[in-house]
Amino acid sequence: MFCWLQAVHVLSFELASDRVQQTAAGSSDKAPDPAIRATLQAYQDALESLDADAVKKVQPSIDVEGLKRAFREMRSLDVEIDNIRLLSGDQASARVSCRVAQTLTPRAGSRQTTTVTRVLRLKRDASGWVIETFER
Amino acid sequence: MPIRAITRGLLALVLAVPAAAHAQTPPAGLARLLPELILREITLPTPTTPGLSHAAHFSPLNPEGSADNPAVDIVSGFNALLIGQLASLPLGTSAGGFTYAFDPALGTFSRTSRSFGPSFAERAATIGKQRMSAGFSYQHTSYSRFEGQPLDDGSIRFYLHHEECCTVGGPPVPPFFGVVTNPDGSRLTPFFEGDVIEAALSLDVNTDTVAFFGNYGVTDRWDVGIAVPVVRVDVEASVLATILRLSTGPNPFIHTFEAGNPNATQRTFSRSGSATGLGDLVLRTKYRFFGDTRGALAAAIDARLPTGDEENLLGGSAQTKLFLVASTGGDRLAQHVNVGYSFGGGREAGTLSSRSLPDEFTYAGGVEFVAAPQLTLIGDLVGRTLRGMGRLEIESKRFDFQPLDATQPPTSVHFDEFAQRSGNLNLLFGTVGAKFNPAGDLLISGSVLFPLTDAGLKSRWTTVVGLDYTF
Repeated sequence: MFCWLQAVHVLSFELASDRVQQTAAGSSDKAPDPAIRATLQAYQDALESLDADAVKKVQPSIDVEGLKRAFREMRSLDVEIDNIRLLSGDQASARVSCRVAQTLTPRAGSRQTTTVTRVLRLKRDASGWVIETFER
Repeated sequence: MPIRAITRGLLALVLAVPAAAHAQTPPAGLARLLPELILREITLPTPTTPGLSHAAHFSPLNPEGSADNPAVDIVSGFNALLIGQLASLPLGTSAGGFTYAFDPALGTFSRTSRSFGPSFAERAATIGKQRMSAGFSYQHTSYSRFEGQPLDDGSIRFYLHHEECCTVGGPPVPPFFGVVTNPDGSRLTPFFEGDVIEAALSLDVNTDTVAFFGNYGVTDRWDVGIAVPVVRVDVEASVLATILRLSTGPNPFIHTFEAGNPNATQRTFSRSGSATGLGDLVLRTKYRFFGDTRGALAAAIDARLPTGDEENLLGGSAQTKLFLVASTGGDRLAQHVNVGYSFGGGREAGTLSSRSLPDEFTYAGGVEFVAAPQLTLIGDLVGRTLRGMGRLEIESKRFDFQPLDATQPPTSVHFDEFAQRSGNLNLLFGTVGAKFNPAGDLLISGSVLFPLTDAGLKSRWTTVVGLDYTF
């Protein structure tokens, strides 16, 4: 039963996005708006392309210069965002939890992987959903 | 590419030097230069007329000489301490790379340890799986003092006793000073055994080392590396020998540096040499047990292979060093501590008897300050305790002699000379330096190492410049 539900979730996610995945949500969590998942997909793509300006479009509050400095040290960055859960929200704002896994291949130094669960606030503006802030 | 050009230039320099340098190497090797100079080469002229020759009476290493001569122990002890420190001169460490951690504010990784690492110590950070760094350093050291005495102004003096002569096959007595064939071993019979030659040493020693480093990350936690030093050693020694006619004063023709000239009481003997070649290879491995760039602990092993020519002070000492490395740090300031123990296993040349390189307790601690994103300033204390290495201390020694006038009683004088003492040799150095990242993954480093103690062989400021590149 669990596997079947997961497959349904993955299928629906694939329709909205080819990479950002949604796994089985807790019974109290709601499925996020596909537009929110699309925003997170754009965020993931921007990180992977090491494009600080593209990240800023998705997360206007980001420290662009700091991010550029960080990207300059990177050879590549693989990002996977999954386990997306809508914690609360309405038409104008949303609070979402997700798991972000990143594998860094730096220009110098060791390859490193980190997986963190993050809680972020999104707001809807004229262009759609954008990340307002990370709560954790 | 500038790096390749510099590397090629240095390699050419290093490889071009040996042929000329080895031509200047004395036959016995640099390790025996001082014993040969002081204990063999200080001779008086051979007499032109038949009779007793005093030529080698102050030369214990000559065939008629005796290793029991007290000067042998003193000069050998001096030489052993000197070459023991030359052979184990610390090498600067490779830079060790760049480090990263997840930054929640940026949502991705950033370089949290912006320090480029210490110069004469290690930090716990490893380079990372399948990463490699390579580089080289050039290190110049010259030496100024030995056990607190200046090396280059004749302050260090040895006193060469007259050999016990005439025991077997000595010429008949008169007219040669009443020599008997049974001296009493007191240097009072025959009376001229009471004379002494004072050998005032002036010594100039320099070492230049180009060390090539390579470091590879087998896993994220485990590094292996190699250091290949090419060493040049220059030694220039001169001895002002002065005959002290304690017992032959009234007859100055017995001991003189110029036959028939009673005023020839002084002569300078000199020897110099240099050698260039492969030093002792060092194989390195480091494993980081836990932690990240904000705090980590690692263990490391340096295995020093005796690939250097021990007879020419280029190395030749096997040594295994085990040490722990702890380091912590933030954006601007990082600290590191190393504690280790080296097991000696080689043999030192130049001593008159074989002797292992001593075990050694080592420690280092310091800070790295990130003055700018591309500039790290470094300060360290580096300590070494060479266990059982022994020390030399100035001591007032008594020299007995029988005046020529046999009616006078035996008498004595005192001279200050080194005397051997057992114990550890404790050395402490300070280092300051900087590492600069001009572009990409290139690091240029420069530092100085300076002694904080007077013990043993004391160097002037050792200068080190280096270049590292991480692939």
